[in-house]
Amino acid sequence: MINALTILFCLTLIYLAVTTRLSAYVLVLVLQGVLVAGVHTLAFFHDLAWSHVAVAAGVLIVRTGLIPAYIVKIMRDLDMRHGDGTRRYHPGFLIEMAAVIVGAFVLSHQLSRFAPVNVIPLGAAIAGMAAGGLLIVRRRLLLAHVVGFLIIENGLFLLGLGVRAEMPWTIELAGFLDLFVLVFLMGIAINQLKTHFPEGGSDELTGLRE
Amino acid sequence: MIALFAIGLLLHALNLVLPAFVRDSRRLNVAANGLNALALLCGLGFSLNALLNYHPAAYRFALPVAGPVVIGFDGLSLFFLFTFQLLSLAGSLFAIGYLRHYIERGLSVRAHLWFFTLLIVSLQLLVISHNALVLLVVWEFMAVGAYFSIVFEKDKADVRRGGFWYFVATHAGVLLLYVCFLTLHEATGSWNFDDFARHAAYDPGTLAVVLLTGFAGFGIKAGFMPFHVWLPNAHPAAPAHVSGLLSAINIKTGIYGIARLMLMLPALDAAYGWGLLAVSVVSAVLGVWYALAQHDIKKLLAYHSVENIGIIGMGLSVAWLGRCYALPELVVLGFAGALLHTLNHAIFKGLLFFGAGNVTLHARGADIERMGGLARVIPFTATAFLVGAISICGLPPFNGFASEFLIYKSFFRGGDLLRGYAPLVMLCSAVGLAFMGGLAVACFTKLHGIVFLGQNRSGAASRREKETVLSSVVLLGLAGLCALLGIFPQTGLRLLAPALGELAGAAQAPAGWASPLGKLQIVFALFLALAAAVFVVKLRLQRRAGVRLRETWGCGYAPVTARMQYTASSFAEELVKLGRPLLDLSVHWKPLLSIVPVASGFRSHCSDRLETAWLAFHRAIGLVLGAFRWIQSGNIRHYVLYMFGAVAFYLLCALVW
Repeated sequence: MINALTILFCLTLIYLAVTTRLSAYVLVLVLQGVLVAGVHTLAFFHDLAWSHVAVAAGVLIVRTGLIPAYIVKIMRDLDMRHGDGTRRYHPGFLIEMAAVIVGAFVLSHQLSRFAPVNVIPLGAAIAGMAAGGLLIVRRRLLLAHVVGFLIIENGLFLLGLGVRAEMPWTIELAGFLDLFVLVFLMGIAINQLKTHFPEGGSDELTGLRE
Repeated sequence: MIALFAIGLLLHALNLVLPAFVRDSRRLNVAANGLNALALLCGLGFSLNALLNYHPAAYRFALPVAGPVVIGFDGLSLFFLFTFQLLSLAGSLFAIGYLRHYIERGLSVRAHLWFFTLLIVSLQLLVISHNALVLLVVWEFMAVGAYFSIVFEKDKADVRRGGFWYFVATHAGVLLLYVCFLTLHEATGSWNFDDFARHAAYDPGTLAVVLLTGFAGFGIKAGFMPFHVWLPNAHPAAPAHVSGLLSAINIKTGIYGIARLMLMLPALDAAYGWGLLAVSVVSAVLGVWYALAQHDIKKLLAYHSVENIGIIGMGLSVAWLGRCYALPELVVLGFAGALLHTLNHAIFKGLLFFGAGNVTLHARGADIERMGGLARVIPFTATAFLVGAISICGLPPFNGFASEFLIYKSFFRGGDLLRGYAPLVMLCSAVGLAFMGGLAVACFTKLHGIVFLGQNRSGAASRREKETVLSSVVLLGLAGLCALLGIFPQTGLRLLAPALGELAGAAQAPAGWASPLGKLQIVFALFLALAAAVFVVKLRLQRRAGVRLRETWGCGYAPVTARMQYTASSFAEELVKLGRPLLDLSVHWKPLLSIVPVASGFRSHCSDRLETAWLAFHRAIGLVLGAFRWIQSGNIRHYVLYMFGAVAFYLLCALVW
């Protein structure tokens, strides 16, 4: 069952590659949140402790509820319901995403030769992290970058399961703090930026050059 | 007595939080510099007592990353600690009066005083850190403190430029030091200096890497050629109390590093000694030659620092050769000469830079071609500056003579004791030192004569306010030390005796190696007594006969103006022209072609060929790297791609290897 959920997780990454609508990104985040919470609960089902329940509940509340709701709020403020209408679907991104997923599973299989790892969850974790990065690189919108970062965090969450180790509490809390800081700061930044960059694109932000 | 040093450090630490409590700039200036002075007095009490009643001490404690760390008070550390504290005390007291002028102009000294204190503290901590990691960390603090102290007037482009030169040079040096200490750590498994010294046998390859990177890294800091180019740009950019410390003690951290390497490592290959000697002679001769061609008083003094670093390097190289060839007399003469000159140079260079600070304040600029007659306006500065000038020229009876005498003696003894071509090299080095001494006399005759004597060349009124009592006390105090260490050189030798005792091979030196200085003491004392007696007789005779003032005979020209005096360029012209192939001298003037007088002009400028070469090298590097500028697109998505690419690359390497 765990493997099925992690493969579903990878399919959501494929869906990300074929859509340009921000509402679809938010839907993917919600779905991934549920899948990740489910995977975590099932992995420790036979030895369930209050900490496992707390983490799963936290994931559901934060990643499935609070964060997507906040992103939707930002979208309404910026009037960006339909995403970047100027960018048409391009098959290149899909091919890249597929290559990243395949590469992640190949890497996971190779690693299994040297260390005792769960191939499919580890492959999904690596794919999630790489896919999040790919989303940041390929999409202009700052909100898409936020989504990409959140997908990286989801991949990291799966990583513990992949290496057959439970993540220490501090790592879990650090992950939540990351999410909080990211979304909070991004919300502030986008609010401040919207007067100058109404489209919320990152291409105008070239101050890093000098 | 270590408690005194600890109290001093605590007072410095208090100074670091003082700006938060004292808001008024004037009060902060007095309080911060006064607190620094008090802390340094405590420190001097400790270091002087420790040198005179010497017992080596070391304190060990454990730090998380560096492991066991040693804070050591051996002879070399104590000697440099004493030197640094002495000049820092003078600098702090001088700064009280000097910074007043900046405060009156509305500049804030809050941050400046903070970084000035950081510089002073880090200089002291540097020489007692006997752990390489701790030394490198303290080195960075020193670099930061010095940089921000230099760029006090950051609205001026030349100040920013000078600060940038300092920043780049100090970090280029520290990169080499990383390689040096990492190699030592690889060989010994430790970061502590006593473990480096105790290591059984270094293989030649390791020793070569350590010595070359160490000499180069510390050499950049000290200002040896060809790495000196930052010095004449950075030191003039700083305010006078900072430039004084930079030239007097900051560059001596490089000398400390080289001396420490000599103490720690075996002397197996004389090639390093000969190489250091060659670099030192070139630095000394070219340094003073460039100085002779300068018009900016601070730039002139900065080039003299390069010259004196060369002199110190000569002493160190002879000491190294003495160890290689098992000649203890050369070891003590060279090392003693180098260390004594370190102390002497710190004193008279500090004096000269502080004096130059007073000069630039009163003359409203640093161009000596526009100065003249300042002895009437700032007489104490003129007197003290004269003493400093005589000292730096190595003339008796002041302290510069004593240390240069030891180095001369080391060359002559080297000529006697060494075989093959070595005596010829020693002779050439002695001739080079003498030649450099002659150029130094010419340079300071020019400087003192143009600045303090004659009449004001600019036509503008100089600042009329008198020198502050504190600055006069500091300058005359330093001049007094020049006289004391010159007439009683044994005092200086007593201070460096503990360091000398720690150098391998020094203990076997003949007992009377320094005895000529004792005999010279009597000659100096007699000379001074005679000079004083003649002066008293002259005053008495003058009082009886009266003094009549007349205008100087002007060869029949009337009216004689201030612009008809010698200029600095004309005074030094013949000597500078001798060095034309080496110095990049450019002269611009329109010759007078008709008998009807028309306006004309003359301008001469000497550029540093090595600075031109380094800038050309920098431009070439820029051109090559410019081809990769496209990588810095400014687009955040590209940077994220680079990060992921790097992670993927490392992952691949981890898998493959």
